[in-house]
Amino acid sequence: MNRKLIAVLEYCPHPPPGADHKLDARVYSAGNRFSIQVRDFQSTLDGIIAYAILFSVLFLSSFASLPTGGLAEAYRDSLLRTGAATSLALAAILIYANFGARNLPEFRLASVRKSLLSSLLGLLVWTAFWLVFGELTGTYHLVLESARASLAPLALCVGLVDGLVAYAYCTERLVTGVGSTVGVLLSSLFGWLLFVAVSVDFAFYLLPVVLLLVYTGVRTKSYFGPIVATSLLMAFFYVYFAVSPWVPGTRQTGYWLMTIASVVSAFLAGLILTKGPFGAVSYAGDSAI
Amino acid sequence: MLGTPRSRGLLLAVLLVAILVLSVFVSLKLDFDNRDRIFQSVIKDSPDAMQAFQELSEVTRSDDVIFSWWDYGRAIQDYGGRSAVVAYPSRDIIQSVGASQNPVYAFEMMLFGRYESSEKIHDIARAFLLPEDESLTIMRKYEATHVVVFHGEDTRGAFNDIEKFPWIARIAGYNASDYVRTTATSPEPRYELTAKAEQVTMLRLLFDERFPPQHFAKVYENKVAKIYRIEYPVSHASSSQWVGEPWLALGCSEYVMCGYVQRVLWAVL
Repeated sequence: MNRKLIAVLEYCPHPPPGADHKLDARVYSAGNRFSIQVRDFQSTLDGIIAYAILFSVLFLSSFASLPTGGLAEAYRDSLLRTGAATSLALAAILIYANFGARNLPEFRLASVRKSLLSSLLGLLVWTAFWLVFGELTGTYHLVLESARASLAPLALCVGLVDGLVAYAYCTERLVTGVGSTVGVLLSSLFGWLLFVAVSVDFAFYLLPVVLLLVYTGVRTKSYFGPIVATSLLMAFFYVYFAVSPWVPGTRQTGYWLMTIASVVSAFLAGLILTKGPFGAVSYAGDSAI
Repeated sequence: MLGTPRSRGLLLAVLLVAILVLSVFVSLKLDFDNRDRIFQSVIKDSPDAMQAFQELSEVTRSDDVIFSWWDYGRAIQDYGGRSAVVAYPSRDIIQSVGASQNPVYAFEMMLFGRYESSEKIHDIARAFLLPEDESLTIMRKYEATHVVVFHGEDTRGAFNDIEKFPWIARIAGYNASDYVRTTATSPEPRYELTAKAEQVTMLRLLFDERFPPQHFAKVYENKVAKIYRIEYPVSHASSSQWVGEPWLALGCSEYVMCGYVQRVLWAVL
């Protein structure tokens, strides 16, 4: 234990090239990267309060008893409920931000084009890898849920509002407050939970691509792209769902394979984004990270 | 108190954990509620299924108890206005629920789902698999007066007990292929009954023209469902329960109180 501590101190913050005790340095580096270091208390608190407002309003909306109609009506009502609750939460967050004279949601227009192109490219690469894997291996294939088909525009709108709350305000606040790594991880988790809340089927496999989109937002310093990409994801996967053609009772295996394929696809998409045409932008270069 | 960075960090950590727990809980609850309504909505989309459930209030008395596979229990209560023997699955058969293939929903079911006892569910499954005489003993145990089975062929397989039969047989501890063989899976499965099929109560109720049931009188049928009144044999009666409503003690509803039974009872009382 003592030896480790000495090694870490010796190389802190970065080990010199070719030095001994590489493993210890790496452990320290990884631990440091994933530990929560509060850089801006107020920004972190703003982010947490915004998420608290969002999920509290969603919680209250769960008490609204919806009339039992046909399947299309049931899907529409649940989307409308979530959309209305998120819009209300957005209004409350804006009031909170205005009263406290804090940062309002911002798009950083100068980076909008880069953000949009990066996000759409990431989405395209993820979708291509993920779908090709599913088709080639027969692990899953996409099926249209006919009762949801007409609800794509509504799902798109809900995705836009979700993105506005989750990325344009909360992510920005959290990344400023606790740094990019923890901020991206937390924001991705909260953002992904909004997919679960509207019952996007098999939502688990969307977590890696949501992570990729939040990362892209931080990297390009604009959340416009992630918001648009998220709403497209919401609209598409609300209407289509991926099913595993395997026999009932063992389908969870197919589900996990879908999720693993999604992780790999998101990783490859991230790699292409980093090395590709939009890779030159520094990692949230001028933010307080 | 919040002056030191350590105490501020601690406060944020606590808040973060709290909001994470809240958000996970809320999202899962909303998802569960949305999915929970789906089957009831599917019924609303099927005029025949809706008609069958609503017909229950016409062909049964208000205190009658309906015996069916658990899937239909809540619709029997909500749309038919009658008590169902079971309306929820038991924890040990959760793998037979289609949505459980999704780990997120399976977790939600563990958190928010309602469950029947395992014994009850296994009894229901066995009652459907056993020959009629033995099924009646189980049906009497739950004071069932009517049975509903579904033979509808819909794209979602929601109202087709023959599609559910393999799982029901498995839960009852039987091998479904001993009674029903699936001869083709594409484009639609075809089912072929074996020689043993006529011993199975559920199959007798579903294919009543081929195997006319002995203890069940059909009171309603449409494209989706068949409703039967259970005609318990007199020998099943328990003398201690005769006082009050003797025909119910015999397991008969008022519709089957045949003249013979009526005469015997009034003579005894």
